[in-house]
Amino acid sequence: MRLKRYADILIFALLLIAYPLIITDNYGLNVGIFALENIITVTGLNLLMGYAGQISLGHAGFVGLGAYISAILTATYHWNCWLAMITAFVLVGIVAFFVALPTLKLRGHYLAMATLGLGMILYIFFSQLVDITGGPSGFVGIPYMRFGSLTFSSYSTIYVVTAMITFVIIWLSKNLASFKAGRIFRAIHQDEEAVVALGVNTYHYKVLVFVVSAVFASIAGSLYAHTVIFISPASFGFKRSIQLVTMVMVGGMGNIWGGVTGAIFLTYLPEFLRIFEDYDIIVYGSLLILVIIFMPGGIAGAVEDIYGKFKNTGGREDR
Amino acid sequence: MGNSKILGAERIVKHFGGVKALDDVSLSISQEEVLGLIGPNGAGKTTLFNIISGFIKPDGGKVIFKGVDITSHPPHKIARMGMSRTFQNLRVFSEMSVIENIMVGADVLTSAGFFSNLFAFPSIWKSERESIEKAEYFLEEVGLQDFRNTPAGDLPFGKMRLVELARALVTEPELLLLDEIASGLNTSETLDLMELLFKVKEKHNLTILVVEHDMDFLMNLAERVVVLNFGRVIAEGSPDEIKKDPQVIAAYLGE
Ligand SMILES: Nc1ncnc2c1ncn2[C@@H]1O[C@H](COP(=O)(O)OP(=O)(O)OP(=O)(O)O)[C@@H](O)[C@H]1O
Ligand SMILES: [Mg+2]
Repeated sequence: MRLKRYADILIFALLLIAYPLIITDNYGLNVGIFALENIITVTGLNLLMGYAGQISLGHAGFVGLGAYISAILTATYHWNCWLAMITAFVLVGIVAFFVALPTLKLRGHYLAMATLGLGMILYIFFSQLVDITGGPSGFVGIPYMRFGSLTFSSYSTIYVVTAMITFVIIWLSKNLASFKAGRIFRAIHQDEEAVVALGVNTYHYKVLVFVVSAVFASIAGSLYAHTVIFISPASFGFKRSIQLVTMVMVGGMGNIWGGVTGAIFLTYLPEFLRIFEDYDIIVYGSLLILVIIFMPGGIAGAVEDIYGKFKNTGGREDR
Repeated sequence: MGNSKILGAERIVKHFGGVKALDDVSLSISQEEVLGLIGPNGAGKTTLFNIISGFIKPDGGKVIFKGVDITSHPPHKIARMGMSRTFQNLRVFSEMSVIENIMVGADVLTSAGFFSNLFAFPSIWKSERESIEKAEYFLEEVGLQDFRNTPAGDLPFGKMRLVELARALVTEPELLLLDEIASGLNTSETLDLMELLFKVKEKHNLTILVVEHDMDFLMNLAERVVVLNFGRVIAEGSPDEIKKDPQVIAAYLGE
């Protein structure tokens, strides 16, 4: 039973290992690293949105906060990058906690509004606190990640580090999704009052999942900062938040692998669409619309439906 | 045992804007009693349920459960004290399988915390096994074993009611509040449900407060009946007394 439960995550590990063996050019590795960073954020967002049914429109803000805290602590204060990364996600977790505390007490879409506002405030901080963040023109001189005497400056080494962290994040998310917490998240999504009636403090669970999703975003942000070694506010604005939400929806809400698929698909898609040059955005938009119309359960939902038809069961049973 | 009081609602008042949904309502239930609550549409039955289970707060009066004043307790805490309820409108988790629906109820009593869940420590596996075992026990008790992995939303209506019942029972309540659990069921389903309720009541020593429009169902099940009309208690007594009570007859005929 345990082995079966972890079959999918083992396949994922194999794919993570296979990718850099097949794709060895720097460009391919670079896009791969971005895909992994997106997977981390999107998986957290999927736990929040797809599982627990709470909407965040400001997750790019958490990615940015993680990135900037890591950048400032390592570049300006010469901290160890891992210590900086941990400090960043602890601080981001605390910020998320205090945002969640009042907003999740209320039913309704207060969280969406609060996170929208928070995302904007953070964006303003990133661009206006010029002395600390470098302002609109960005933060330069972020060091690469380092471990002992190893410096992860090549794409292949950054890929390895990012892949390992991604694997851990996916493993944790799978754990959350598979047991008690995951069931309670999904139940809250469907009927919060009915969950309360069973004796669950749903407020705790909602705050928890929000903090977890923010922490994941922060980790992705820290990794991003040490990958590109130059960050600017433009990467962490409202548009980015919407992109992250789109990745969850296109991939499949409430399915870990759905979110992963969505993150991969929408990271690579713009790269492929470059052949359309000026029209890429039109093709991109049209594809999104088609997916949303024809695959209401996202890519993962569609795959499960097809699989279900083959097996002659209803499909999408596990959701 | 019986006799000792498990629940008391004392002088409950509740307004919704200009509507006086409950006006000085008191009732009490003894341990292992089945108390029926009847009244015409809009009499305030569901409102009283919501107040007892803590989902809404009264404007006046208090609720005592097992000797504790729970009037201001949050609903999840009241549920944890051993009070479980079903809802008048069906509220199964329709995209989750039947067994998962029941497991959510069982999860409440398992001890594994957030971090053991996150890191898959042994204690979460243990909790998982406990939840499955308990859920399967109640799955069988309500007779849904053939629908174990069916999404609850795909079940016929009558079976969804049973999911709700199993989900309420798995939390090990002492007091069970059933809000029109037989509504929408056909005659044979209603009879089966009644039999089932008798059975689980005996087996788990339950106290039951039941709201029902189906008079036969209620009169058979309840040992004592309280009648609400326009937010007031107009009669109280054994089913036989209630059937003959002129005020009750008037309230129902006068609708
Ligand atoms: N949330 C609410 N807001 C405003 N009015 C309400 C609310 N809940 C109930 N009411 C009103 O309070 C009165 C009592 O309603 P309640 O639902 O308790 O009646 P009931 O006895 O359960 O009726 P039914 O047999 O139809 O279920 C009704 O007049 C109803 O319209
Ligand atoms: Mg009612």
